Amino acid sequence: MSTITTSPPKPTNLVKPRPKRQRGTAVRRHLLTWFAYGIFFFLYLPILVLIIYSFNANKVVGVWTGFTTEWYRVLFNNRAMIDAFKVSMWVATWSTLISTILGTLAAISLERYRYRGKLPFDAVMYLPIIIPDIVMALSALLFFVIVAIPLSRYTILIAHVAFNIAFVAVIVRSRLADMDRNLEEAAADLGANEWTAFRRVTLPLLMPAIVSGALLAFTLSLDDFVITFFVSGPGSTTLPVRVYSMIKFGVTPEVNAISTLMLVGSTFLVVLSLVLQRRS
Amino acid sequence: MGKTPEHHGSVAVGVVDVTKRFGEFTAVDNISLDIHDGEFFSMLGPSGCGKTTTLRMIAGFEQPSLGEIFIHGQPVAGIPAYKRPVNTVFQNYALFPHMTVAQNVAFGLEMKKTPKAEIERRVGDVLELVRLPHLRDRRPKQLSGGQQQRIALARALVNKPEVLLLDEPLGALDLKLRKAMQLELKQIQAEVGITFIYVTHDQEEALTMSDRIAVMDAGIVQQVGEPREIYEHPQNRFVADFIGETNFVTGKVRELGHFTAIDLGELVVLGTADGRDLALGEEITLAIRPEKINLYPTGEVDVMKAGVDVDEIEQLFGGQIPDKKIDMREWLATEKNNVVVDGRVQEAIYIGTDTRYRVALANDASIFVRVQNFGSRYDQVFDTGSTVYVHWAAENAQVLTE
Repeated sequence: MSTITTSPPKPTNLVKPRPKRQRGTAVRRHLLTWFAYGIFFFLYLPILVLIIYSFNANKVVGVWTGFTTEWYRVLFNNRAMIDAFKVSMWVATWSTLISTILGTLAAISLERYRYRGKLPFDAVMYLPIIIPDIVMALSALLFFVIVAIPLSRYTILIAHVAFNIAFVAVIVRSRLADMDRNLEEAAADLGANEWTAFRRVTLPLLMPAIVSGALLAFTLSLDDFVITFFVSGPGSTTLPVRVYSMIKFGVTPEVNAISTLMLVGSTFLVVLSLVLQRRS
Repeated sequence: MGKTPEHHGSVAVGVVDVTKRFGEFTAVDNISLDIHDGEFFSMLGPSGCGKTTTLRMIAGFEQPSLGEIFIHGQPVAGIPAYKRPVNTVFQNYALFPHMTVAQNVAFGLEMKKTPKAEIERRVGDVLELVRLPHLRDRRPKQLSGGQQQRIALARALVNKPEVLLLDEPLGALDLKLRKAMQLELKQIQAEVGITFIYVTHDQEEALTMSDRIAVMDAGIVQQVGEPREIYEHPQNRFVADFIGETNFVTGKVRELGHFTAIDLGELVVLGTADGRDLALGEEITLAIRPEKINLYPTGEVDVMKAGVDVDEIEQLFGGQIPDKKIDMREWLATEKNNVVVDGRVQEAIYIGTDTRYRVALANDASIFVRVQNFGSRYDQVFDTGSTVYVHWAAENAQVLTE
């Protein structure tokens, strides 16, 4: 029988010896990991504590006696709290609606059209995002005093719309900048006038960004304290302002409970907004 | 070059003295074109030559700064893009990502308020035409580049436009697919009989597909003609250089006649002026395609080793292939239009189908020559440093004045 000749496999050292430096980097990597854990610990432990103590049966914060949902029940029977919640929802809903429409239009005008005064408009558009809340709050208050508008839930609404427009515009605009301009031309080419092209092509493609902008606006409106505190009048207290006035008399488990609910609500909205942005 | 085109009944698109400026920049500089009904017309040029701007003006996305555009005799100034009887296939396809293939294709018909049943039928027909009926419920993102390209074509064709505008539609495809699509596009155009205006920077693509080509550069139409005309008889240096490979040799006109004799320092060669008016002593450029130049061994050689086509030899020697040796220069001199000069091979590069030679002429000029490798025993191979006879027919050397 003929033999098939094959060269025997050479004994090669396939496993290279690890370079010595590896150990040093491993130590460094572990250090970094622990550092990261440390940061998360300091950031989120207080929040965790707050959530836990909202279920504490003892009225004294810091002394754990047992689990209860009593504080949530108290909360839902607190008239002032319910009223504040209603104001918050009213302001958040309307400011979201108005700022989403205006912010979207602003984004489109900045991204798609040329006109006089566009550059300064572009420059001041995003100011509310950068300038400190306290400055926004003071200037809003000053404005309402000067034009003699009595402080009410409507002044809160106006102030919230003012800062929300910027956030909606920034999200919608970045989506619009990524969008292929040829799509709108293609629609026109196929016989769609400007309005139809916007309705059938531009708007559906912008929708994820608009919705995510709206969710962010809703969250910001619900959570805002500084600006609202300055421009809210008697009988128009939002939830964060109400909470603030409550803790003047000490941190109660009731405050912990409402904070926990607000935390859950806003986290849900922010995550939803992020998911929608990711998907677009 | 700014000539007013002749107007006749079959003009699908007339571009008359059109200029387009963007601020200080002139993108299109007083061009005039007549594009005939049912024609596959290409606008060819490097990027920034104004070809896409011209297309966009026909589509209605841009308005001319000066001049007028006619579609089937009707001036279209002031008519917005959505009311023009033309459709566009965009370079990046611009398919609507939130719609299915069928919805994309139906979009134009919906805009025209076509009855539902007819939309359904025509969408089916056009998807059949581009051979993708099975993809009607897919989203554009789920299609390959070639499929997207065909859907973009279907979306435009379904509206039965008077003119179809195509802006480098094959630019994003790989070479093999591009070649296949070139033939398919040409076939579809013949089938539907719609006038195609095709923008490309790829000269081979333009030559392959077009009935006529407008070569553009710097916002100006350099030459309009059929592919053969443009390749064989370029009107100026830009066209000769942009389309294919060309050797340029500059010299002074020495003698006028049926062919123009040109003084190249130590050499006198012949070229054809294509009826252009030349003056004695005028500085001109001679353009010669590398594949139109032949190389022969110098001195007396065996006929069978001269690299001459065997039919030609038989013809010359009356069917008898002679035993004797011949000097190719003497043999070629029997025809008056033959140009034969001495050369020396500087470089020989084998590239498979051809061998490319760089040959130095007596006056220090050097030219490129392409010799096809037939694989027959008559193939000639010249080594670097060998002396050769360089030969071309005068009618293949184009005299250029600019």
